[in-house]
Amino acid sequence: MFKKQVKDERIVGEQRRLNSEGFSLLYLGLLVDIFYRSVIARQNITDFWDIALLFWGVTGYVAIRTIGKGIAYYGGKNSILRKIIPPAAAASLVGSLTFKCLDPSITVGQLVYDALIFFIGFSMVTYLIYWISDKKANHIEDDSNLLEK
Amino acid sequence: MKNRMRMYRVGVGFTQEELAFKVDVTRQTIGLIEAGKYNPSLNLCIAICKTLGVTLDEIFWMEDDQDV
Repeated sequence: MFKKQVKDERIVGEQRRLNSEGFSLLYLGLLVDIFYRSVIARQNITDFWDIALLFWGVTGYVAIRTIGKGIAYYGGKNSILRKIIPPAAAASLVGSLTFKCLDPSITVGQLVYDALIFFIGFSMVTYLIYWISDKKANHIEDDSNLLEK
Repeated sequence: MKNRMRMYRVGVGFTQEELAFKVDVTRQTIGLIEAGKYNPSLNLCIAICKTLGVTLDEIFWMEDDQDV
């Protein structure tokens, strides 16, 4: 007689949590590796294209799946600026410092201009992600309401 | 989340192992729920209640000062 297979929700939940933590560690490791290779070791992207492709591929996959499931939630119209401006400002600052590190000859004016363009672009992309995700979430809700009728 | 699971389980005459087998979890999970160290999903709560022949609110409840 076969033993009944146990599908314990606590074990499944813990396993998922561990998998998620493992993924986060690997993702952070890839990010640090790419940063080290490009900024500190000054390697050309062609020397580590496989790692870069893996990183951007995984990033794109997670972003698309998050938007597709409508779970990129910004917390309502009142908090949208709080969800967009700080990450965009931080990304612009880090990006500027990295560019300055890669090319010390770049002028401050050019750096500020580039950072501003990056800030605007980053903010627009982030807003677009939240906007599409919100539409998708409403669509999923409408579909489930139709099924109930 | 508080519960009276141990009382009802003993009342019905089940061991932790038997209840665990009936609701498809491990004995340790039943032990942790009874000790209040693991909050089961609604599905598992309902399965436990059906197995013990009681309603949800007879076994599980929230304290007023607890976060939902």
